Amino acid sequence: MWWLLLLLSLVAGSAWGATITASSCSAVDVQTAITAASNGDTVSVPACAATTWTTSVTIPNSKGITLQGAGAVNTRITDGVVGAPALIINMASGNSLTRVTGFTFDQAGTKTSSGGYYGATIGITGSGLNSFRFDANSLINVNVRGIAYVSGSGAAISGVVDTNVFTAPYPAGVQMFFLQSATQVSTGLANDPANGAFARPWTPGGAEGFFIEDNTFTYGYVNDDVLTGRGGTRFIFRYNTITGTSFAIHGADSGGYRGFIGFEVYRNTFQTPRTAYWFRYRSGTGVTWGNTATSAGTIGANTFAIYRACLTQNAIWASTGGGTGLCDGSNTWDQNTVGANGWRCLDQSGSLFGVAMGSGATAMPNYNWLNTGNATERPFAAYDHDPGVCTRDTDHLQANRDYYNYTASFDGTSGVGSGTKASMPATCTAGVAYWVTDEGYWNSKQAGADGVLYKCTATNTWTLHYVPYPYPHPLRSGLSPPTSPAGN
Amino acid sequence: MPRINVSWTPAVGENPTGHRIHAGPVSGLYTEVSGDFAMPLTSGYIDVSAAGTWYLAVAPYDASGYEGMYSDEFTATAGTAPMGTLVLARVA
Repeated sequence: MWWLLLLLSLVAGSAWGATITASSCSAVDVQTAITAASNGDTVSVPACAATTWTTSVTIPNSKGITLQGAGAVNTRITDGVVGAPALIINMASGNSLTRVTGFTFDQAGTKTSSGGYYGATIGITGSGLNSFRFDANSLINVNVRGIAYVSGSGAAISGVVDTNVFTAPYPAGVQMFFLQSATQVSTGLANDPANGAFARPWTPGGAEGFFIEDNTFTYGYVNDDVLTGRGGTRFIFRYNTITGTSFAIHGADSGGYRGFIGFEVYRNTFQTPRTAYWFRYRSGTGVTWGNTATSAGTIGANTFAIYRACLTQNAIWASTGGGTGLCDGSNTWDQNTVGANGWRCLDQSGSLFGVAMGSGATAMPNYNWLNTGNATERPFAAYDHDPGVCTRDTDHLQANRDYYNYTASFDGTSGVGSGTKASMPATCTAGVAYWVTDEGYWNSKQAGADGVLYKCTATNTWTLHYVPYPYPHPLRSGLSPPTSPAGN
Repeated sequence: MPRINVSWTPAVGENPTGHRIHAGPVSGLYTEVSGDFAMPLTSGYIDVSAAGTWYLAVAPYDASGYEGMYSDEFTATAGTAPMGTLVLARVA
């Protein structure tokens, strides 16, 4: 029997690892336990009175571990680190999952935006698909940024942030997430090899990206937004509850960075979003659907925006060869379609640019459907910075070309429809889409069909286009894939 | 409906409640799902809506019904008639 016991111990070792208990909640003791841990181990942090970390604790990219508190109510860490995050998570492909669970991280309203992670309490860096999970934590009293992902490589990364509580009770502008995959473009706007994030295709429904799901966000003031960033990032934001603020992301318009690549934002619940806007996308392309907002006051508009269309605000872009930096037909990093005032603007919504900027952009429209504010459909439109003065922003962002909105009386000629497969019009104009409600089984929290999106890829030709990634994210079950599947 | 029979090997050292089979007409886009095949079953089937080539993956699920990571994708061809149907013959 000895061989059986040996086999079982090896299996147990590979699946669960060892548990190392930190002597206390102090940064020194937690770091000591992390250093002693091996790939696949768990570092257990005990319950404690609120403990201030004045030096960063780092999970290095040489191992993937679980850092487990005694529950968010019981293990409370106050972020007293100046110029760096309290906790830095560094990942690499091939490691076990890195998981952080069961803590309260209290930013205490005293952070500044200095340092490499823009003032975040949790800093994430590195790469690897399905490499991290951050769950069942509270990140509270945030006054700058909560979680920042910063990478200079543009390498692929994915993980899930789920079932956390985030609060931002201060009037300072707060971005709970700041995601930045690629480096600043600083080589005269030539094709930048460091921006590998742009070399990989973007496919809605795919596995790559930051998955943020089933969290609650509570803002005391409607300043800034739940999530932003730049530099080739992709994210999936779903099934969250957001109170007191809105959703907006940067474009290729600030700091010399390029914009987002892609996003999926669906089935989130907003309460009292900003009056200035509910959604505002300045870059990236994807899908926004099934979100709801309620408010006793005004719910702001849903918009796509290109700041470079009409604003000469970006000194870095200008200093690297772009004159004013405007997307007006004069700058080589835009597509500059003849007669279109610069359209397609670099990384603008509704377009995909690769590593090569400029003429190589392709169309990838945004699709938006069933987003209701106070029970009324809220379509997207181009944000007009200065009506009647500069029209380039509305020239660059046009319905049924760069974006498609839900159309209740959908007949296949424009917009996005929704209904059963049997109700999908037989005829269609290329570019429109239809949400089929009785296909797709990607939500294992509920029985029955969950919906898929068909796109009209040529006249009267419907093609399956988008199936959301499995929900809840598979990392939440902790189950690995079976192997050697085969069918008759 | 055409039937595709599927087999798999559960992940070592884990204890899923069972497995499901997902199938779609396009790689990576799954529109159909099988019933549940509880452990210790390591094979099952999915009845797909049409004959032809299908892209498939197998997912484990836990006691809550939540699915884990999908297997590598594989293809199979569904015939025009149900496959694996047991035919009972009367014995005189």
